[in-house]
Amino acid sequence: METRDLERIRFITRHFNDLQGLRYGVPLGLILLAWQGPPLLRVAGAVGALALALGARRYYPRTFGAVEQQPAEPEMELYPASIYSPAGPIPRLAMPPRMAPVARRFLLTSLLAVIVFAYVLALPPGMFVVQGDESHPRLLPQTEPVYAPPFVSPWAYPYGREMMPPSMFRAVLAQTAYLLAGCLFLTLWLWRRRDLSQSPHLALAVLLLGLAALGTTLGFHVNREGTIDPLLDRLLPVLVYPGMAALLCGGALILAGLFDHWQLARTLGPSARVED
Amino acid sequence: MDATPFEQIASLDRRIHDPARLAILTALSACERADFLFLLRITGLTKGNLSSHLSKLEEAGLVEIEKRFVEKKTQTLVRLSDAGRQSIESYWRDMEQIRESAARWPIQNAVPVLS
Repeated sequence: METRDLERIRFITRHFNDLQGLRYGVPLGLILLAWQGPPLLRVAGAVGALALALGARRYYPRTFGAVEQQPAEPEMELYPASIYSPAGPIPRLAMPPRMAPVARRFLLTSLLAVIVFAYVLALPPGMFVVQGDESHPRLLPQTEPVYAPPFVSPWAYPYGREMMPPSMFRAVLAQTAYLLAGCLFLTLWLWRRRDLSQSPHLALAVLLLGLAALGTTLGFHVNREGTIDPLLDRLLPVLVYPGMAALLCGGALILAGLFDHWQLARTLGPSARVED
Repeated sequence: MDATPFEQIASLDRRIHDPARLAILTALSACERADFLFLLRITGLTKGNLSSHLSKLEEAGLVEIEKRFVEKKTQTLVRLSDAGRQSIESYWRDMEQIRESAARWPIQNAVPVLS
């Protein structure tokens, strides 16, 4: 037995529950992929994803066993405030469950990223996305404010707040999807201690955050006539259409989920070694 | 005089230094508790071997074994005892010290086997 075998054992045990890709990543990806289709496909996608998640919930314990994760921080036996309770001290077990540490980190990362995203988006020069989802989008330069979050408007937009046009709103929705999905993969990579074996998650995070950053700064790339670099122009549908974002984010989630599942299956192996 | 790396290796906790038991304890040190099937999968041991190692570890007070019924089947849950957690942490500290002292150990101290 080598040190790296022990490291692998430690890693798989520590992350056994969040490596269950068929239970989380793949169903979520399926929902996103089906989201841009007709209503029947959306329903089928949602039902399929639910069935997969429920099936995987039974499959993993039966095939690979069960692991109870260590609490992230030592739990106190009693809530500090419970000493003031007229009913006496209240055990922590009676309280609602606390948020998982990985979810807490994801929320924190996303919140920081959304704040940066909103401010970069608000900075001039702005741009309008014109034309609908049916054709290639076109950008129009916008010198007047299109969106002004609090605290930015006084110095960036002296004329006050204006409403975002629907095409711009859809573009922002697409870029937000990239941002959140990118933050999710980045959080997972950091949560798994930046392990080299988790570099696919980092690659997906870089790709999706890169798309979010590119979409957010489109205003800086468009000239007064509304023309942009040809390469960027080809990428434009990916950057401004929510359907394309759902397709890419859903695909990324499915890939990551299958990769996670493969890691578990490869390390925990087939049942051939079990004696009768 | 400090012990040589070889003497340090000889003084390691034998209950832990066995590869199978080290794998079991390493897995258990990374979680609150794990069931028998998971330990079987992660260590690659046979059922008989795993049972035998777990019994020895339980006798030594390093792990605690709990059996319960889930869907009319017995589920065996294993967790590190406080002593077990201290022992495995101490084992890793000792191993790290051995690695450091082996790296510092002068080559002229080695026994000339081939001469």
